[in-house]
Amino acid sequence: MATSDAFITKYNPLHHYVALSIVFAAFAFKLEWQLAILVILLAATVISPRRKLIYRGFLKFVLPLIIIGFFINGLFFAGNTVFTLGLLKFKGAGLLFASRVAVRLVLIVISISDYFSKVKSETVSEYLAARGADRRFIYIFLLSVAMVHLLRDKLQKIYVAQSARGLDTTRNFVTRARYLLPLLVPLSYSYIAESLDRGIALRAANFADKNSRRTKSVTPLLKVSISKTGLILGRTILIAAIAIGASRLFS
Amino acid sequence: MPLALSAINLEVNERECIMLNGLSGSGKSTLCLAAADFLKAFPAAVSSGKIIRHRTEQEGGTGIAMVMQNFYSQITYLRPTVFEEIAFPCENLGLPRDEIIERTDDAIARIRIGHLAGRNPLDLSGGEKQKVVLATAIAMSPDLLILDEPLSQLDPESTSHLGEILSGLKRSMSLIIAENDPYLTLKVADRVVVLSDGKILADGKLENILGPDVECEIDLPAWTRCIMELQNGDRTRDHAGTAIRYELNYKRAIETMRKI
Amino acid sequence: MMDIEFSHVTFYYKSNLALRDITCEIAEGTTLLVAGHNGSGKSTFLKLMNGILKPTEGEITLGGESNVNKRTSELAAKCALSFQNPDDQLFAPTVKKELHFGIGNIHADDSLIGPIATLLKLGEVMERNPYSLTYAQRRLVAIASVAVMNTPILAFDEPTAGLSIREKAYLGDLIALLRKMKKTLVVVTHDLNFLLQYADSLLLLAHGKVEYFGGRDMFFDRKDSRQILARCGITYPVYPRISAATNLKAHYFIAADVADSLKKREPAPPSAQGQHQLEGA
Repeated sequence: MATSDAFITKYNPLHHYVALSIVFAAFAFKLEWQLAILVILLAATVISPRRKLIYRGFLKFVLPLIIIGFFINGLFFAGNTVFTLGLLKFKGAGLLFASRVAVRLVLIVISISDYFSKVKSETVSEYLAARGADRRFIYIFLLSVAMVHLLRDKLQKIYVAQSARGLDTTRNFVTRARYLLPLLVPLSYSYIAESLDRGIALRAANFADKNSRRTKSVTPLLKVSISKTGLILGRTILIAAIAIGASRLFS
Repeated sequence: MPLALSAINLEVNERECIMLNGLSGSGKSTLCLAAADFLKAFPAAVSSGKIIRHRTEQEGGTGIAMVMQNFYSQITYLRPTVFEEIAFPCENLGLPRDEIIERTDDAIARIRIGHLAGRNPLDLSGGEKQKVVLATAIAMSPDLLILDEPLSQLDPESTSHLGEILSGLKRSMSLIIAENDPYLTLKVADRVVVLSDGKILADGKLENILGPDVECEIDLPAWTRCIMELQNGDRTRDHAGTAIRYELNYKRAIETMRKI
Repeated sequence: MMDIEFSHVTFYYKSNLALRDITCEIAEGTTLLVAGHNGSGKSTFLKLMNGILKPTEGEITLGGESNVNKRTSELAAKCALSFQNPDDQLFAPTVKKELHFGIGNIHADDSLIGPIATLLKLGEVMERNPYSLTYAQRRLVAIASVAVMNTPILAFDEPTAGLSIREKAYLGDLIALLRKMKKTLVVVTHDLNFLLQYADSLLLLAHGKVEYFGGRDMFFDRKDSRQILARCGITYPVYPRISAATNLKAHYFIAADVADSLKKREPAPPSAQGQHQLEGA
């Protein structure tokens, strides 16, 4: 048998204030300061137990964007050529711009993914709901996270079902592109059918009316207790970051 | 637009269990959605008619809980554990926390899924998900529980356990169950409503509604089918000399067959 | 000869034991029913058979050739499998194109499309989008699209789920046709009451272990058949139960056979075993 105590969880606001501060710094601080923060974050990543996942994520998603950024900005910016690759001429100003964008991107990605790796999504969502956020938007976010898993599992099941009918996706790229349809159509259909059924399901779970979207008439099982120290420290860090950024306007 | 249901007049009494039988495409799921008043969720649907509900106590919510045919979409994934998943609709009713926990514990115990309470809903198998959705519906303590093909992913052991659960639930709520399983029908149904092509073909106790037009629309117990086969050769008569066509009682059917 | 052989097959799924030391041989042209409680390893058995999963230990051979280095799509030419959810398979804009899909993949001929579509009453929906059909019809389309591939081995995972008696009758006709064509059929099912009539052999699983593998009729002659079924979480199939309760000499699996046998026999006094069976309702 469960008791009320089983559903109390702690949340430290310091995490989201730090993330917000870093995102702010990525836009408002001088490049040297940004690089310093980047070095600290990278050092933290190296000792993190999740570093393999972070590196893989970085290589798959962030690095291609950075490389594309360097190519586009380097080739199309006006100014002096500093670097030639065959027929391609890379301009200094463009490469510098691309570097700034790259630093910004990495700071934002690391701070946000670090935040989500530290906090549980149900804790954050209940924290936001307790502060008056509309539950619809919270639930859309939570469901999107779950849908990634669900669609991935579904795609695997579809792939297996089609392989059992002889679909061979290991050949050349052209053949594989042709075979996308037998995989994507069932996926899309199930996604669309699910959406309608989910709407009905939420209605069936008493989530239909306006009252249940805000906290007042909902009794959340999960109670979130907030760390006061973290709150004060976090706010201090954010205020300091804003102050540093604002000081650039007057220097 | 294809016609799913027409001219449906259906009465569900307090603490009554109605079994909806019928071939696939006969309108069972649509009738379940209509009873739960969900047809308005379909933007292109044109429906007419009224659903009249007589409720003595007005609590929060509609008093109706439903397990849909596509029960997968009823796992919300908005909560990290099965326990909280089951508690979700009760949270939305604004019930006190202690009552939510009590109802959830009770539902979990009834369905015997205590071993799943701490698990993540993403990791459950189909049958486990179906049981979780059923527990969720029971935790809502509805006046009317609507189940659309609740046995689809269950193995035989779970199926017979569900039969016991449903018999117990009848004491506190009305039930509408869309399911073709004749053994479940015999176990729990007070009335059988047979749908055919969107219309009600028959409505009443199973022994009273069986006839040549109904017998090809619904599944019947094996012993009934044996007696029907024997009756085709005119070998079954009761003591008054009347040919028995539909023998629903297992013991009487076996006795009749032994006398052949 | 397209026999299927499992030789001391063990399979671990995420460090949990899913199947333990399975050894069985399914002769060409026979029908095997695989049954057991949820989680007993039935679906794992099918997936090992057609190469989706590779055994941790042991070997699986189809027609004398080992599965171990073959991809599922290669094995589909020998063993086509229809899964539990038809919506994982259907993608084509018409039923006709859907039926041609598997055939195209393994370069088989399409001579079976006509007869099978007729048997399953899909003739009138050939030009319709599969997703506009009812769930039961979609399941029949999914089953048909695998059956038309004309492979020597066919496997079905819960083919009767979601079917009402009308579609089950069509499915029964299809199974009878496939048996006449001497196909090897492997069917995972909870619905023994309906499918036992087509079975030659049974594989009963409980917690990843084989509780019984052998002939169907031989199983019901065993004195411990009830206990084995209980361990596998299976309710005693109803027609054999009626056969025993009415003191018939053999076990039957459809109402017509029970009735025929009752009509033909001499009146017999109720035996002690028969009395016991009466309690079983």
